[in-house]
Amino acid sequence: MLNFKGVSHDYGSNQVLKNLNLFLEKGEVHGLIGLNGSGKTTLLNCLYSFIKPSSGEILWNGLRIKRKDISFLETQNFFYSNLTGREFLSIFKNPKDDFDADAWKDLLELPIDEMIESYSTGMKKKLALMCVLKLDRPIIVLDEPFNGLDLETNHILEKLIILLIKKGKTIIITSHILGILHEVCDKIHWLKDGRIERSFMQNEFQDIENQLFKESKVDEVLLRLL
Amino acid sequence: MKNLLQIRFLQIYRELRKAGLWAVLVSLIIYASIIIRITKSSVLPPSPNEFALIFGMLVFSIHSIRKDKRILSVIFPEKQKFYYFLEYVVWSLPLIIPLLVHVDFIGIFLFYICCLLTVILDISINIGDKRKQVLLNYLFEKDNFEWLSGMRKVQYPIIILYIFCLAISYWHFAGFICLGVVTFMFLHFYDECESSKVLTLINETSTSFINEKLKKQVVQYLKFIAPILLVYIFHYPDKWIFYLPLTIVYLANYILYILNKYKSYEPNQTLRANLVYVVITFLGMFIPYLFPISLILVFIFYSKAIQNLKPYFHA
Repeated sequence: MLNFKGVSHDYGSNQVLKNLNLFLEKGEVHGLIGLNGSGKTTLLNCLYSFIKPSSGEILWNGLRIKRKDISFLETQNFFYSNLTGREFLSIFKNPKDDFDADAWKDLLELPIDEMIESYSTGMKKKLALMCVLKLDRPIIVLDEPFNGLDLETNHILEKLIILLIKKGKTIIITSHILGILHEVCDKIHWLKDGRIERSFMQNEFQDIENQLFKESKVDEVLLRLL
Repeated sequence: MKNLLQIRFLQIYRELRKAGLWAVLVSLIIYASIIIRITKSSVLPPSPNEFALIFGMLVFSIHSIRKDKRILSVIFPEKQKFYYFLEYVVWSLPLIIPLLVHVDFIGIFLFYICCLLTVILDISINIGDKRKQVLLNYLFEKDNFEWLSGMRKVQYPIIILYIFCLAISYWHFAGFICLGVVTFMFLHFYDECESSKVLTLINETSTSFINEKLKKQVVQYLKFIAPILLVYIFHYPDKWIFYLPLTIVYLANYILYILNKYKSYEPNQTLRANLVYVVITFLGMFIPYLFPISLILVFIFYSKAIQNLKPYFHA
């Protein structure tokens, strides 16, 4: 179980996370949604200890979470220059030593023997995803994983998430594409003003958009502007 | 870790191949010159110990702006700092071996202390603070995007170095080293190429663009190093004649680097091969008999830069 207990974080006077509490069951897919600036990335950065929460703690199976429990697909991933995809992939260690890079290469149609500089945004995302899979850690964090991917790879990723869950992984996904989250998530958590505003179960997913935009004045403002 | 170190060697090898044979040859000559300077006693600065300190400061600066920290924390979740240290130890071997030959254990000790402190402190540059941005906007003109963006990236190391330069002004050789290191840090400002639209925004010909650019950048550079120069000249007025050629040499290396950017200019690209030139220029600053080379190269690069930019102005 992944447990965020009273997590707060601030950047100077800007408090991004405010005593956030969240409980995630093991072996489930959890979606994290929220407007830009709602604290999604900060929460993930706290989870991975890229930043230290100003208060609160994050527990995994009752113990303070460690980096070796998590693999992280970031929105923008870093790649070393002058390397081929295969060379970059070789940096990542697979604990069971059973990662078949060629099979993944064929599935994702990624030219892993070409230089990374020649890759498109989508190809880079696929390579980063392969790195995440190779690490084979119990918690997988996917920050905007569907951005830049073509339709076919989106489909593969959806199937992949379902298979990973069967293998007992706990997955956290952030995305602005609600349709895909509906397909893959067991629960979706709505982050607003640094807190979990509401958690939606699968049977409530259809209600998310109404809840998200019920206070929105977009129509009114647009009418006034145009 | 062994695997990643091998990959990093492969990266450098390919980087050098991209930079070309001449860059490799010049690097080797400079490296050989450093070995000679370290292993032979000389009254001229820098001494082997000072070399070790300069390289220690260099490691600190590089560490504070390295972009692979997050990915290294993913690859080595619990041994990240150990990897940093290991990498610095391995990369510094070409420097440490001559120091060992010279039996300069103090130099080696100083260098490793710098590396260790760098790794323990693990300072990263945060460029997001709005207050700092306001200060930078006040210090530099808005269209001087190289300085604005560059200072945001390396402001802490530069501020530390700047204070350090002023603090050790009682020692007259310090100016020589500090000015060189500060100048070296400015060179990274010219790694990223602007878009061709920015290039042709004001000037109509490549010659006028290059002249204007050099004028602006040189004035900015002189404004920035003026306080350091003045403090040293104030402390040692009898040695002002020493600082004049020194400033010219550093200025030549600085101009050379700007011209190198436009010589290899490609719109919106980061000139990765520039890293090799940065090292060459940095080392060139400390090897007296390489000074004339910089001056000659300035003239060669000037005409090459103008030629390279011509198509963008006639497009």
